[in-house]
Amino acid sequence: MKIKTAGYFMKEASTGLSRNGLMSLAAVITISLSLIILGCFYIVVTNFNHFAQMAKGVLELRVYLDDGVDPNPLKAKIVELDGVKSVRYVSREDGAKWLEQSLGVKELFVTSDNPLPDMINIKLKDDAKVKSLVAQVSSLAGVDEVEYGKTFVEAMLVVVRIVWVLGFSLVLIIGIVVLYIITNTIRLTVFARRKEIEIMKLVGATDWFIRWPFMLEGIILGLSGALISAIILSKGYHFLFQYIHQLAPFIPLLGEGIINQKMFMLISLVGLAFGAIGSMMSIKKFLRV
Amino acid sequence: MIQLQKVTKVYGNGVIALNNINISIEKGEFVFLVGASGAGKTTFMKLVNRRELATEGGVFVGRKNLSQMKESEIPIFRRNIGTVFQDYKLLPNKTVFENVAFALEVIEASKRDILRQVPAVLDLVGLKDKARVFPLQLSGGEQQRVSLARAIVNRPLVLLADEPTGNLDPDTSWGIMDLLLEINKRGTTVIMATHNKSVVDRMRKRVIALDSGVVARDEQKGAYES
Repeated sequence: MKIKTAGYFMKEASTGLSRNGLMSLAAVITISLSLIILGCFYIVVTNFNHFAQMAKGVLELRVYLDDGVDPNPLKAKIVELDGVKSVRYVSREDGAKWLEQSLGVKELFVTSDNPLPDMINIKLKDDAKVKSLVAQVSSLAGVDEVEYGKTFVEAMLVVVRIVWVLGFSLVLIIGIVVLYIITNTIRLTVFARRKEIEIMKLVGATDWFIRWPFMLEGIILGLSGALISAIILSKGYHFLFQYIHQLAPFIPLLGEGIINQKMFMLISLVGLAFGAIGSMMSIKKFLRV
Repeated sequence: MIQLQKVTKVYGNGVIALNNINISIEKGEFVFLVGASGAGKTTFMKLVNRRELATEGGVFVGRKNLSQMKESEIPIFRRNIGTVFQDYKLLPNKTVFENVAFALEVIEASKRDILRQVPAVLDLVGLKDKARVFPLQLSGGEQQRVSLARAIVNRPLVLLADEPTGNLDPDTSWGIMDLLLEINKRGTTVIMATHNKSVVDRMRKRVIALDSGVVARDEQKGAYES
């Protein structure tokens, strides 16, 4: 593309935007609002995911062994399984010592037999599939029972899944809304210039030459909306972060830096993509000359 | 130069616009297309500049078979075909100069070419002094001259004129006809669809008469009616 041509495209795009000034403004505001909803969803999902990952990170599976089982072959088998970070064998004697220490009592099982079973502790990787891992370990020979912080992790996973499904539907709806707004705004410009487009087609302008100014117009609308929503969202998250940090410092919210960077990328991409796609859609019909 | 071989055009609504017609037009010819409204003149024009595709048969312009032309080749092909309409199709918010230059700008011609070719072609159509005027400040004949200038500024091989004198009074029409003859003399093949009997009768050029989608008559030095 020649520099002169790029200049022509920019000039045409800005003419289109200023000609439909009010409609363009309305489009930018609506796109901003839609992207703010998208951003809020992103903040919730990433934070829930973060909680879930942290919960998994501190989670251990406790595998109680049958009496008299040799732990070494079992350890070797378990460490091979998907999602296992590390394993540690805790004999019944070690278990008793740990219990004595934590209870502050000495010689706990002097008068009676030590009732504790031998045990293997499994530390999980972040992406471990807890349920299937428990099933796999339970089925190994010599394993009596597997115990883990079941309810909390399961609840967390369910919440993450629900948020995902909800969020995905939300993104879909927002996508359609944004597309509709952009398509209709650009269509005004396209309609105002349909005669010009017809002449361009007849004198041999390529479809891309005709499309670019409208694409730029859509992209400018989308990115402006993204910029406004990014500013509002980052301010909002800053406020939320401070508030929660003071109110409940134990809640591990993701840092503002991480959130802002990724969220900005996400909504800019969405704004850009929808701007481009929307304008492509609105001009399609008029290119058939 | 232009050949229609056994061409049939049926529109989506079932209307048969052209029915198995054979027409051959040589390079540099001046051809009148006559016939009642709905006879198929405009469809003929649309087939030649690839706005429509033949339902059956082959349309050849130069050595190109338009039915087999890729979408991406159409713009380059159209740069060789100038088009003039009854309603001029000028852009009211652009000056005469800008309207003509527009045809060169959108095919990414250089500024130098634009500054050289546009004044030359405005001189040819006799509107050099009105370059800065807007179309609505011009008479119908002058507007059609601008439209002609735009159609030929890129030096096309073929000029399609669809009722170019349809909105003009007789005197003004003759001005436009003189211009078309001049353009034809410079080597451009001119095909003009018209209802203007006096023009056709006086010019004595080749006449192709269409009637309900078929060629009713094809005469060298013909008249409007047989």
